[in-house]
Amino acid sequence: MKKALFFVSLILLMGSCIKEPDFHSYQVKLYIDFGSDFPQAEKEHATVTLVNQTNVYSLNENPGSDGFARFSGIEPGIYSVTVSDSVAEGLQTAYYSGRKTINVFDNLTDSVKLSVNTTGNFVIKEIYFSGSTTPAGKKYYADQFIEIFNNTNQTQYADGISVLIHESSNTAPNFWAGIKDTIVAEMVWTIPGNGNQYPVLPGKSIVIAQDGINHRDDPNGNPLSPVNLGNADFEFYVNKYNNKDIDVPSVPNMIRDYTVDDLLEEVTFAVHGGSAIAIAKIPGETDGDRKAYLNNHLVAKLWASGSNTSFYPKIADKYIIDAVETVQDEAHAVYKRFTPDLDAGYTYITTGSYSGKGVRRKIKEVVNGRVVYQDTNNSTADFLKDVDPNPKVND
Amino acid sequence: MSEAECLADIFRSQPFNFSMLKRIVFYLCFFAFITRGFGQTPAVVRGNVTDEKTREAVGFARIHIPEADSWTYSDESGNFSITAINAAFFTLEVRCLGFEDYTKIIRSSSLKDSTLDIELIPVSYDMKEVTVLAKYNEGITASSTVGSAAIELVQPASLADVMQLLPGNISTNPELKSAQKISIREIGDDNNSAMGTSILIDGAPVSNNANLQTFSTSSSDNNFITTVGSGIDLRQISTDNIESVEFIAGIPSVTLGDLTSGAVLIRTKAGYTPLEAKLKTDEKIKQFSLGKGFRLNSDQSALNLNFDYLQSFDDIRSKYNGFNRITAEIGYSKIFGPLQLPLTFNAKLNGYSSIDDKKKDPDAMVAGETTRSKDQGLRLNIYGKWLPKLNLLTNLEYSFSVSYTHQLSSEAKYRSLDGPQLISTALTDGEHPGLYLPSEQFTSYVIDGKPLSIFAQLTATKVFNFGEGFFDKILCGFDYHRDENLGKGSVYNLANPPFISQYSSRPKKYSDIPALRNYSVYLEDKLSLQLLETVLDVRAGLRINNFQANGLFKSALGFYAEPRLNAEYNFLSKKNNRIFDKMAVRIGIGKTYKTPPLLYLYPNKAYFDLISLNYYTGNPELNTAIVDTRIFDTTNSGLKPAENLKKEAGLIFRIKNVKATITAFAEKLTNGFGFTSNYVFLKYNRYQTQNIPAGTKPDPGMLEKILTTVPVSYQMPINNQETRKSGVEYSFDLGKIKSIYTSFTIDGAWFRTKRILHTIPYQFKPAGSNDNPYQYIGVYPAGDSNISERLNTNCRMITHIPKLRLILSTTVQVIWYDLFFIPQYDEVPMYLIYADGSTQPFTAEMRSNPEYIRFVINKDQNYYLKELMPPLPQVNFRLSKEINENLKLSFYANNFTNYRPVYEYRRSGSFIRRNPFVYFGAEIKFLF
Repeated sequence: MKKALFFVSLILLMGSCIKEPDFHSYQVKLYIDFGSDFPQAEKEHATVTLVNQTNVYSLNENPGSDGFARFSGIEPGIYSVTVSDSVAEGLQTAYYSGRKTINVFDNLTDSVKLSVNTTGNFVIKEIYFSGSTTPAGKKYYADQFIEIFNNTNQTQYADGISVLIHESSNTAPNFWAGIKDTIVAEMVWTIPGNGNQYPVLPGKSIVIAQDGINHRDDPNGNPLSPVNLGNADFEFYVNKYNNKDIDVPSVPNMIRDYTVDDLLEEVTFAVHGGSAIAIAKIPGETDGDRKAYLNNHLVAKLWASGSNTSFYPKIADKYIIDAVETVQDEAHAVYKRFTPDLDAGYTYITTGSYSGKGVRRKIKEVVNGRVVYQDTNNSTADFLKDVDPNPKVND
Repeated sequence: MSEAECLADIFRSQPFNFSMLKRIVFYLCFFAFITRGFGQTPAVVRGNVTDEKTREAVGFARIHIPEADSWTYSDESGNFSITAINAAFFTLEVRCLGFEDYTKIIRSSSLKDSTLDIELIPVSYDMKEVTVLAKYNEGITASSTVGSAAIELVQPASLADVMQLLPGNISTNPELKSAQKISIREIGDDNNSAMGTSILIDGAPVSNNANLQTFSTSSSDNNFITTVGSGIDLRQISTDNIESVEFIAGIPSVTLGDLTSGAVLIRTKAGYTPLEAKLKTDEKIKQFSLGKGFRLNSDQSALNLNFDYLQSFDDIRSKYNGFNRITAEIGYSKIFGPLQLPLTFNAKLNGYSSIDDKKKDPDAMVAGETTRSKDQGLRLNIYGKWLPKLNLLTNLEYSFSVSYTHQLSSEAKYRSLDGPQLISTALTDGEHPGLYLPSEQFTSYVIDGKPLSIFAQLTATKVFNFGEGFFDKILCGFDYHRDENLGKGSVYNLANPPFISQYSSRPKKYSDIPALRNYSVYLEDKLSLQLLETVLDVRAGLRINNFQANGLFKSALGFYAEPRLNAEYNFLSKKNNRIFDKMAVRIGIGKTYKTPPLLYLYPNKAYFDLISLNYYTGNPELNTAIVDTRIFDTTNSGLKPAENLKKEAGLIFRIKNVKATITAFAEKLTNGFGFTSNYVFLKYNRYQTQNIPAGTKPDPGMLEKILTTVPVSYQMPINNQETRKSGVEYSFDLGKIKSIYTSFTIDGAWFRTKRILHTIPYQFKPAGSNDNPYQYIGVYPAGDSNISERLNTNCRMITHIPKLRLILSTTVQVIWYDLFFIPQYDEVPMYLIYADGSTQPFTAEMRSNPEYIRFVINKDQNYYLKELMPPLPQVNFRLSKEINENLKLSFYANNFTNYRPVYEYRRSGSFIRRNPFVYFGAEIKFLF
């Protein structure tokens, strides 16, 4: 009996010594498709970044002369691949980027296509979406804003520029991934004007606030809010009979082109940062034309319960001026919605909801006192995270 | 009006005219007075009741002869004498607290002058017989009785847990974190069914009619726990003081009214009990109870005391959401003249307090925030029976109860919603200055309800014995029920409201709401006729209700008649065949009505605060707002009582010790209560602010205005719900296999419940997507519904070893299938209504027109898929052991294999774990 016990324990002991390796590791080989026109010399300067979506760390490689970027010792998981490169053409720099999500559960060979980034006259300079905390520790987010900046050396008109929020939330794969070259918007709000009413000088910006008041000092506001939006240029206001939101007369209201009535009667960006936000110039000379365009481009989405259908307008990518993908955090980047030609990267805040922090574009240079913001069409590279909101301040 | 027409009228059961009512009252009197006793003076039976175990005399035992409806109580030496009937056989029933019920058919000729010796078996695990399951009654309608030993073995925390002994019910874990609603013969629960099940404690209904604990009937912003507009919260009924519970699922006698689904009759303990102290514990619940029944032998009376305390936490790791209950009861029972003309008098005073508390984790909370719901009630119940031995009157039963409850629902919190908000505090129609609220404010509200309920009932019976095997029992009586609420209602500061939502509301005082006053008269005839070797029993009754009575013959809601008919034909017995000891069929059909509770009769007014001028500069001197308030009365003057038509047919048989009952039923509840959206178009002015010079306060009189039309809706009570229940209930008591000390029972049911959500067309307007609201409303067809079906079997095995004083109960519950689906329903408007009242048909082309596309409620194809869930077994286990006369230990485990398979919903792709969590608890009981 004792002997038998001894053997059994010996076998058990040995069994515990024979161990599986801690993890499998794989080879990943990515072919970077630069297209035919791309100068050979610049190809090897491209940066290929792999981000592990579970454990959030990144690995960088440059492609070899054969166009392949090689990674080894990659642990199994889901990775996002970002490729970025730039080519100087005279004084201008053209930025290229490509993006893909890969599942590494074996050795893998894949390809990523690079495309040239579009640049517009306006850029999104800053988004403050997190809101702030009140003295009692409660939420306050009427101080959200978005700032649009004239990044050119000429006066631009903001009339008819629309702010869009992508319909898909940042907690699941993009529901609309199947519809190519468009953004399906949850809300569309447009700056009023006849085309030359709202000039924006070079190096100047416009601020679109949820509520255009001095949130910090207003007795009904929040003393802990980081912003004074009393000088905002526009505000989001839902013109509805029972809307309890305030309307500030000195700050003109945006035109509500599309937002489904909600219980809150307020326009908000996701406070945790899950909104993918874009600015666009939707075709149509008049408000009526623009609404007709939206009405004629509705797409249907069934409710999760299956009991009803919602409709959302889709806006073709070609009308998009700038797009910034904000995500909740690095792990949620896997649910990125904008295609690389709109925004090759993504940005977020690490401080969380109601932290009073936002994201702001980096300053690239100052030309004759005029600030030029960096616009490589990759918000991962272009944006500063966790900044204190700085509306209307450009220096 | 001829008799036939009159009867036809009753069965049509619409409110009918008074000549009818007067005629019925006349018949009632007629029956009571014309008849005189038939036959000779009946024999007197003498007897003596003793305890089988101790051989001691049993006093305070109730002796009843159902054929004669005569009864008495034994005296302290166990002796009794009772008037029997002139028949060859009669039934003798003896019942006493702490003993098994005793029933025996007695041959009159065997009596002569001898005394009957009756030995009652005490409820004790060392005796051969203990009833620990529900008993499916073989009477004229489907009902089951659960005795105190059965209740004890379930180890319930409240009455809700006892329900799992009923055939079609599924076993669940004790759940005290939210209000528990009753449901009989249906899958799931709904407010109309719960409200329509009358729960009677010692003969008087526990009313929820005056419960108004809601912030407003026009919105559903309640954060606290409430059973407003539903049945009573079963968590409030503790079980330790219950002697027996009878669940009447079938057609009840006409003495029971103001119900639709069924009735639950609770009888509390009266008589001697040892001092019982119980401690119960499980994952979430701690309970302590103490009870004692004193016999005051000298004057044939008893005093019962009971106290119970229960504390439960939803999650024991974070004791912030909890439920507490304290109940205390004192009962006095006395029998006057048990030997001559017995009269019983019972007075019970019950006090309870239950508190639902929601706190926040002190580490994460802001000081002072709480949500709380507290019910404190006091209930006095006086009831009894008199056997006057008059020619015209066999029995007189009386019942009077008054109950007063103080319901407090409150919340204290920071109101912080996004940013500054604009509201109105106006209490009258028209334009008033608005008020800008700070983004954050500490606010609180109290909903103070004080329902007062009074119930009185008097029932007289007369039994006739027309000869051998031919009995007739006539019963008539009346009841009166009054419910009102004396509370202060919702109390809060208008200028610092607790909620800011789309729907505006204002405080409402409940004491201004009229009382609900119902009176009913009823007449019932129960006939028992022996036809050769078979027996036919027929019970036919009529109950006439004056709902919301404005006088004896004046009514605000109308007169409603409830005819009810039951019959049982016992065609096989030992006398005429060798196989069946009994075989009987029973059928029943009956109508029942439930009055609308105060919530539906007197709903809150609807307030609309239309924003006319919104000028916020940040400078308090200059901020200016005008809000145009419109007030609507949301009362529905055409509201009717809910109506249920119940039908059932059953088969009962007994072969040796195998007993079976099978009952098929169909019920159709119509005019169920609900709320529906009622749309109105409002015109109001919008003041234009763009031309106001900066830094000045606007003068509304000088401003340009735009007249705007907007459709708005409010919630109005309506009879738009329908529930159709059908199914088959079965139970087979297979008797005991003595060698393994185990008895087997198989019961279960097949239920089908169809709920129709809109029985009349309804209005709807989808959410708009821009600043120009839709100027039309869709009118949608009635008929959307859902259907559930379930077939289950419970195999209950009771192992009872008297030598070990141990009972082991193992229940294998199998749900053979569980089905849910929504029948196809095209939710598209029939037509559109415009502000001017004109209509436009909704055409096929409009379905795809972007202007109207949102009016089409377009469903997913999967939405109509059937969710057919596969068979699901579950094993529950209960053990109870008497260590000695003074100590008893019990243990239970639900789903102890923790078998919880995953089912993927075909309709949504989401997953559910079926079966409840493994759950166990134990209790210890000391008896002195």
